[in-house]
Amino acid sequence: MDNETSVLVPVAVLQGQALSEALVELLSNLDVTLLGYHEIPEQTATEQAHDQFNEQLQAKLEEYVELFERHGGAVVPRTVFTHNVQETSKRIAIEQDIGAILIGNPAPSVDRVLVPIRGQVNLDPILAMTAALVDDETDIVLFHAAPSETERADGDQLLSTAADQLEATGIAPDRIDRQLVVSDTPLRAISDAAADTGLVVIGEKDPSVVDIIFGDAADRIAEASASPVLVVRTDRSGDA
Amino acid sequence: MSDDQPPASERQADAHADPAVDIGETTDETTVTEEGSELERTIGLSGGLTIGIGTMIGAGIFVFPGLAAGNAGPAAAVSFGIGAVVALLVALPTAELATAMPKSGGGYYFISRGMGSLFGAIVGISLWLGLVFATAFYLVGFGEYALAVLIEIGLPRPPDLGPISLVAVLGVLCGIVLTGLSVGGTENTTKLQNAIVSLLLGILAVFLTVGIVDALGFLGGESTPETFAPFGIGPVLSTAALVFTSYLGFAQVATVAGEMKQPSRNLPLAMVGSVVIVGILYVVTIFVSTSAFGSQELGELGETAIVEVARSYLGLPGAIAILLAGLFATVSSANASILSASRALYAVSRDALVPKEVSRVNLRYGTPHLALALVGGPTVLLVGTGQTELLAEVASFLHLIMYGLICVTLVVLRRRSPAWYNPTFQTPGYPFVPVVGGAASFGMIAFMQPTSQVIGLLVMVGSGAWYLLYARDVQLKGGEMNG
Repeated sequence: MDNETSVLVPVAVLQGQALSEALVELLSNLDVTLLGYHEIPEQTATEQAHDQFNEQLQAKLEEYVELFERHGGAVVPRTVFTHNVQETSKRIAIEQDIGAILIGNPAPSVDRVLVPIRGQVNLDPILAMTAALVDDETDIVLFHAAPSETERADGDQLLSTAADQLEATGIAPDRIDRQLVVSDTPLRAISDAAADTGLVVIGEKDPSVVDIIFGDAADRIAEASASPVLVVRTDRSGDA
Repeated sequence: MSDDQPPASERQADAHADPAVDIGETTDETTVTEEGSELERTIGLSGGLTIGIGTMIGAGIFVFPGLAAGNAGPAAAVSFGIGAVVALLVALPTAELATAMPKSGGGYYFISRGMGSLFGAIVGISLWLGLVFATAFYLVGFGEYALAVLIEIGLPRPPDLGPISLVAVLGVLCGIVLTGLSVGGTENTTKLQNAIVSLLLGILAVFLTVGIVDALGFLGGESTPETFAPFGIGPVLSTAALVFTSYLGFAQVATVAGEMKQPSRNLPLAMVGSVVIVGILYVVTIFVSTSAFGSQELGELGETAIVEVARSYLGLPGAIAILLAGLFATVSSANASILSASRALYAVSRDALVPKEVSRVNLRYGTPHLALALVGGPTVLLVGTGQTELLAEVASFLHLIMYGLICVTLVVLRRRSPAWYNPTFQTPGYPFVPVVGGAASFGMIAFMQPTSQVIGLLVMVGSGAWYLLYARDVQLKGGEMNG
């Protein structure tokens, strides 16, 4: 269970991808593997890009490492040249049995963390990650989109189970909000709700890292809401 | 942007004979460099097969059948068979070397590490130019198909434009577009290439199945009885030399060896597999073609003869399918070769045999624009000549030299057995396979037209001279460097 609160943070270092102080502050509460990557098209050999940019990549990544250290975080840096960063993230997540992968987006401030919950499945790892992530000034919004009015009660039940579970980890009840909407387009509902929070913690939908994180729900939420999204993996070998 | 880059590099090669020290430790999914960075391997077995098949199929099926049958009669199938056997005899040693040195650069890398920098320089520069000739050849093929499409949709056959034919103009345009796209960093070329190759294989499967059924007489169609080898054994061998250009793809798999997942398994499978697959397709294609038409008629139909063969079996839809397939196949071959040539230039420039600036990567596009331009530029000039057979033979010549030397390198490395040489794939039938493969590679050159031989030799002499003038002090051989 050690790795349950570990997170992989891929950063396009040479493109100057920014990590805001607010986000780093929160992430520093977790075990961070900082993946400095340079994605190159297939025309270029990875060795070729390495020859030319490796020094630069490692030096720039060091600046990000220092940023985390200033916030009291301990990070493990890795540098990778790849044609496909999704594939690389997947490999490293499996290799290190990582708990969640960050989809980066600027987050000027993070006052609230949105936690969309689909159902009982994945609930434990999502809540464990959330509890480890937040500090005393951050509120948590538990969110559920019920497909119809008749399922509202089930949603309420789910949210209160989740809230109880969070409280049991020592989080003050007044910092936990619950939000229940009825919508047949749950992704849009989540994106709208995410637009005015700083960060989203969401679970994978099914046990395929790549489909979910990059092609699917989480990615679209990240794009639509312009918020960073922490995707909690559920197919880790360690648990169960 | 340029001020971010390290200063212009010194002439010193940062090469080491042991590839693990030279570039990094190989794992199934990465290469871990000395500096601690990882280089992701992203090409799987199907990707490797696609590179091999995609490079080869354009020539053997969509350009050569008419020319080959015209030269050798139905025995052209034997010519293709000979080509496949020679390619296989070279593919096995290449696979062994590639699993011992799964790094970018392919044949150049193996030969420079096994035989030293003079051979390395000759092969490296010849490989670049050989791929330039091959690309030009594919693009002339593309021009033929593009023209045939224009005629098919009803445009009148255009008037002769004098020395520069419309075929060449179309080929040149395609070459410029392809080079531009590769410099601009089009992503997903692999996915596109995968889709194209699958589509091609599908079209060919239908076409060849109908062709075989018909040729064997099950449909009662009339086949053309004809002497098997009307011109004797000589043309069969010279045709084998000509069409060997259809087998140049397997070594291209080795140029991306550094990016291949599970290299010890996938490299041999992709190289040998792609040769076997295209070899069978070629032989069947010739059989089907010569069953539909007399070989003389096929010869007169020229590069796009296969379209008429498809028309005779499947009518207009068949002709259209093969025309489109021909366009795709020639473009995919040209594209794959441009990318391989750029990899080849990178490998020689990394070792300081040519200026390192040549393979400098553009940070904005992430592509080696100068290297790609050095491939696209000369290619476009050569396409302008429109000389299908000459371009094909020079390309084959330069590759065959490399293949021969790959076989020699295998024998040298096996005998010297340096500590770093630990191939996970062992060539079966050693030393028979590399010795026969090497001899056959060099031997095939003898059956080429004198013009091709002269041009090929000039390129090699030029490469050797370049080495003596520019890079004499570079040492790459396993034994003589690094102790």
